[in-house]
Amino acid sequence: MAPTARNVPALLQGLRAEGFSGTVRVSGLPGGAIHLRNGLVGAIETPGAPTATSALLTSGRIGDEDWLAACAAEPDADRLAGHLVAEGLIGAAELEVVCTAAVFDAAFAMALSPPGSWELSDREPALVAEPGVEPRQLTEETSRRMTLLSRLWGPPGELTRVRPAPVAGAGPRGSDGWLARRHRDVLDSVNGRRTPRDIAFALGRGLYAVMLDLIRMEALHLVQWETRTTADGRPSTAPRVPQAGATTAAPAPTPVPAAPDAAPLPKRRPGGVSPAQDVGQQKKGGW
Amino acid sequence: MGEMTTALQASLDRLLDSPGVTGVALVDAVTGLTYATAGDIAEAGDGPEVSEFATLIAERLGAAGADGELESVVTTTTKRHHVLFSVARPGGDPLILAAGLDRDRVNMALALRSLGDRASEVLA
Amino acid sequence: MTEIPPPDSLTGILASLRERVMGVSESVLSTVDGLLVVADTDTVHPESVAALAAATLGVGRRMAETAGVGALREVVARCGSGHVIVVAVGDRALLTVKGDDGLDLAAFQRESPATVEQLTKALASDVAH
Repeated sequence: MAPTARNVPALLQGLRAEGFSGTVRVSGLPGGAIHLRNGLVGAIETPGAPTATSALLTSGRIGDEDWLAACAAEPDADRLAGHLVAEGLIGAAELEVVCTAAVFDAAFAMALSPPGSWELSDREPALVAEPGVEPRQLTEETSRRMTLLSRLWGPPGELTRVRPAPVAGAGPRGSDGWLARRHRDVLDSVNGRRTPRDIAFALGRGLYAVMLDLIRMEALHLVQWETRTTADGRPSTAPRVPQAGATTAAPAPTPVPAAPDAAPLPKRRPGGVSPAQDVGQQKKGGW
Repeated sequence: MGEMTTALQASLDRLLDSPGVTGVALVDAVTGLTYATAGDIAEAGDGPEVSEFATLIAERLGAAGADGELESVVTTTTKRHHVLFSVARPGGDPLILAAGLDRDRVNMALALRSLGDRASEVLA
Repeated sequence: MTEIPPPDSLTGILASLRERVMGVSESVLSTVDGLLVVADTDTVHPESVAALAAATLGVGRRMAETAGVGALREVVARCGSGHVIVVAVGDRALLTVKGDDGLDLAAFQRESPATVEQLTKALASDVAH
């Protein structure tokens, strides 16, 4: 029986000591399911970030049909990794990287909103990283990411809610040939509707990685943060751009004037107090 | 870590056989996450620093008009070389193999060539 | 729990659903006759969705009846790279929602009744004017 824990990280530490294998379901927005194997985190499923499976399929690294055939041949997802490798669909080391990256990304995604309650249950098959990630390492890396984003941009919880749009007249598409391929893909995915999480799912990439790329591209004046308005036209209560002035729901965003310097100075956003929906950075109980 | 050695770990362990290599790490070029290390971790370098450094170089080169993707970066001090190699990967975000090389022990050109060849197969 | 009052317009309600439920990408409000009422879309063709929605729900209902499993709640099509959900809005309208691979289905099922109710009210007040 798991000891009563203050928060999810403490719970995971306790379960690590016990060598627990099973599932921790955490409620929240988003919640998620943490799949533990002998106390280590093998996989995390959350609507907040693509799973390893989602990343593999969306990116086309593994074809849909090959995937479905593999699942049919190996119904216990815990053994699926070995099967995929044995079938030559992906290398063992590469799959390890994908699964490990997904665990860290999902932990980060879940830490972006206040956690709810949790409950333990039995093992549910999942495509797991083997042997799995140490909970302590997960917590430390998540904290590091939060701190870095706060320094580079502002409250990470708010970054999840921006809907970036391309900057009009950012230059003819040909001239961004020097952009890294992944930056170009992100740019193609940015449309004023999608949040960073939506873009991550659309591209089959990690949420945190997409956020970093978006921040970089905003610094390069290729994307701009949309202000958060509803289609109603109610003005956003949390201005996202440094320029003061109420934002109304103009159908097309007004381009943000380019900052005079091109160097990637960290940009501090205004306090960004928004009622009700501000999930902020309450660390109590968080990752 | 656990008792078993994973395929990735074994792959990095083998790199320690490469002449002059003191430590290696496989790092995510975007997030700075370190997926595995072998040998002297301090020699290999800190994940987030490695990724930030590689990104900076790649962008500066790109902005200066260089074509193509970054392949490697070699930083040399009196005692050692520190090397970053792009790791070939069929899909997904770019990876970097970071390695420390002991200058005294080795012919750098050969060492770099040897390690560079092996780097491209880290995920195989 | 959000304290912001529900938006007044139909499109506002659709956009609000997108804000509240992770993974909702687009949505279409249509009539049982297959006509488009209003849409919050990006890539899908709203009129085509409207034309299909009524048929989708109709078949779903008949299947539920045939299988003897009670009244249909919603049709969820789980697909390779996302989801499509069709749910009735009152007697005369339908809501079709496109979600991505990471759609929070549990959250959708929690939030959709309220959305359906808001839409029903907004439609009724439209009719009243």
